[in-house]
Amino acid sequence: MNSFFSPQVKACLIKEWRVEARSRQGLFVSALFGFMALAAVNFSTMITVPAPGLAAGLLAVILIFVATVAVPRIFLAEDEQGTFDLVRQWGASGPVFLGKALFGAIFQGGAGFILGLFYSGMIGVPVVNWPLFLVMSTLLGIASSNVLCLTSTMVMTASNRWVLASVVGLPLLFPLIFLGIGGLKVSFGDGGMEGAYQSIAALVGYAVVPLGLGPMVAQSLWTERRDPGQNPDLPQNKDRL
Amino acid sequence: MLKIENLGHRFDQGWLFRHVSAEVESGGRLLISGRNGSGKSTFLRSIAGLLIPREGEIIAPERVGYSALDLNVYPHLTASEHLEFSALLRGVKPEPTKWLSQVGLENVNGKLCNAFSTGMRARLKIALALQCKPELLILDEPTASLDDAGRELIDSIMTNFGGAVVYASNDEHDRRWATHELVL
Repeated sequence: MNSFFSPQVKACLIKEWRVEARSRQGLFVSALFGFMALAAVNFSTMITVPAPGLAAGLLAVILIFVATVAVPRIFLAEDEQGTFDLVRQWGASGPVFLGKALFGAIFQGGAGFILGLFYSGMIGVPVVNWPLFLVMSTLLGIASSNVLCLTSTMVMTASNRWVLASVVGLPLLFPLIFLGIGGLKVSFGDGGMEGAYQSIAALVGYAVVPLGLGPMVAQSLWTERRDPGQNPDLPQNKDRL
Repeated sequence: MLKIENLGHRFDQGWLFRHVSAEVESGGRLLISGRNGSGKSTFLRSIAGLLIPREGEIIAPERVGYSALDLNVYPHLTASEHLEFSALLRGVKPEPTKWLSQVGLENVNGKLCNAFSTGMRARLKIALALQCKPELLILDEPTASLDDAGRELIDSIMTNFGGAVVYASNDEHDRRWATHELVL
């Protein structure tokens, strides 16, 4: 049984934290993309203040794309830097997945919170419900991160993993944009709280379900299966014997 | 200890090796040799449980230590942090000072692995492989990139390690430890 409180999960979380604190790759990528996007939105909305729905949509897209550029690296970098075999021989797949997912969720939750605050100061649309706005920004970051963790796990042993991650991730991330807009626009004063509660409930589901599925997916891919399943009776294969 | 029956693996081009059987008892030293690309590393990865072979059966002990030339360490962690991380994942005592001194890395504490030479990384990988107190040690090109002191370290492990060792090498000097040889 995998638990967030097991020493293995804690070890993975600490390892990810140390690597990020020293390399700052995720931080730089998130900050660069996030603040460039905020600046672009700010310039384009200087003269005309956008409607609450549009303001919500822009923030949702920024948060999801920040997660898209930062989170897959947590998983895919292991294979690319040649450390995947190291961690595979040491640990069970479940705790490794949960440790990485937990790190991604904390990182992207924080990124969502901070970018949300900056966005609210730049967009020109007043936030009428601050608790809802901050919960939605943070939750959208966490849900995006967990969905991307699951996606990255699915493709981590594939040779064309970055292409596959995009293809698999797109349909999974699409609903998050609608859910994000649904909740965020209420915080900007458009719509009732019922819709916001539904969005929050669905986002919590999106944040939790990958944590249940991820360890199972990771387990099935933990041992490499890189072979094409050729017919052993083919003449070219017999020649090799 | 280790029993390999009818092992075979293939990639796109066809079978890399097939119908390979071997048995190693505790204290045995099985040398895997063969030309470049003959599948030595793939064979060792199969035994280490990192790769599912296309056919055959492997009966290996629970505690296996694996070190290979193409295995990398985390560039932004120190040697001690590697040992602490692996110990927590494996559920063993970390004892970084003990393991680092065993492989001659006692003076590198606090240094990140991206500042390590290839030989120092090889020593760290040996320490990581030994940390779980393995019954079976799998070493891919164990003396490659090591200096004379490093080769003495490998010699000492090969001489004193109580369990079975399966190692791949094309170095003539490494042949002296072998109790069995398998040519792929």
